[in-house]
Amino acid sequence: MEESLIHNPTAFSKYFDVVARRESDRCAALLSGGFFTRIRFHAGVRLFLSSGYRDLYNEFTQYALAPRTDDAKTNLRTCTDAFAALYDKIVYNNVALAVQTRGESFSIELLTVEDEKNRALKNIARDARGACEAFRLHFGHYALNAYEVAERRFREYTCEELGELAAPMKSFPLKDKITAAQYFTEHTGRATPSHLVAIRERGKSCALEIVASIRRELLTIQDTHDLERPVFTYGLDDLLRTLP
Amino acid sequence: MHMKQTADAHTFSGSFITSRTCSVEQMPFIKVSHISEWKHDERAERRAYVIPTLHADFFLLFPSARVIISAAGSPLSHLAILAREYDVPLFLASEMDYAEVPESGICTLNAHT
Repeated sequence: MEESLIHNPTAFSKYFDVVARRESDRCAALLSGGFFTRIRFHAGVRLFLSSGYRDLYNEFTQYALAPRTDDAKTNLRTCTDAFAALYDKIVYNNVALAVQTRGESFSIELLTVEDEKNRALKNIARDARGACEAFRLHFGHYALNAYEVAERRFREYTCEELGELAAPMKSFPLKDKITAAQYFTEHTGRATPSHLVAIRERGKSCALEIVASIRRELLTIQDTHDLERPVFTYGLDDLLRTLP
Repeated sequence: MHMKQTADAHTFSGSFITSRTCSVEQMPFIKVSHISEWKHDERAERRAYVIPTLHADFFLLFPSARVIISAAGSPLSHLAILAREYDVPLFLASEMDYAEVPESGICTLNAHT
């Protein structure tokens, strides 16, 4: 079964699947291309594993969305282009991870963004004071089936709904690990699987910020334009043609 | 055909992608296509879950999972990494026709070595 980024994608969200597949296919083509293509690609990956990975980590941790304008079409184009550019880097990092690990098992020695999200969920399950607000602040741009733009973001959930979501985590023994920032400070040599997985998950967080921004834009369009059908049923190009 | 159905049990063929495995004998399973379809029940026994792919959302199944059987996914995916970390057996049945799997039943695992 072919793996998709999204479970049952709406027409608009198929854009994200297309981007993900295009970038993966591009990397696969570079890996299996002619002799010089492969040499250049592998040289690039070696440089990335040597030092470039730290630049990408910094880029992702300092990532900021482009400011919104008053024009919906401009905002959509800016966000979708930003998603494609970002996802290209996520895929490249994934390729580097595959090269670095060469099919071997490995463990992760730091807290990724996903680990931090699960910890925050556990705090909600344990009724920790302020846990709900803290979760919405740091992980509100995430969602179930997160790349599906029609899915509500966690910041749109009530505290009760977040409590239900978090319930399985109440007694689950999450492992204690150092933060990613601390790990990157202490391990400055060649990229390890821990570095690369941390970058991947941080990149995913940035990508989901963009998806959340697109969702906000689409809901605004839904409210302010007289569309013939629900906004998520339009593909990106279709919607751009429809908007004035 | 990768999945055989007998009167009593379905067999999923594939391999464990975690070092932690489990008994491959008959065990109850439920199919979870999307995490929002699943409700946590503290009183439920540990069971096998059949999922379409290794999306990170399915981490919420870990506390109640005896084994997770996925139709697709990479050993490098975050869920696979977490399964190794938390000792949850993860079985990749990549030839499974996910749509043909019933919502629940009894299954056995035919693990390739």
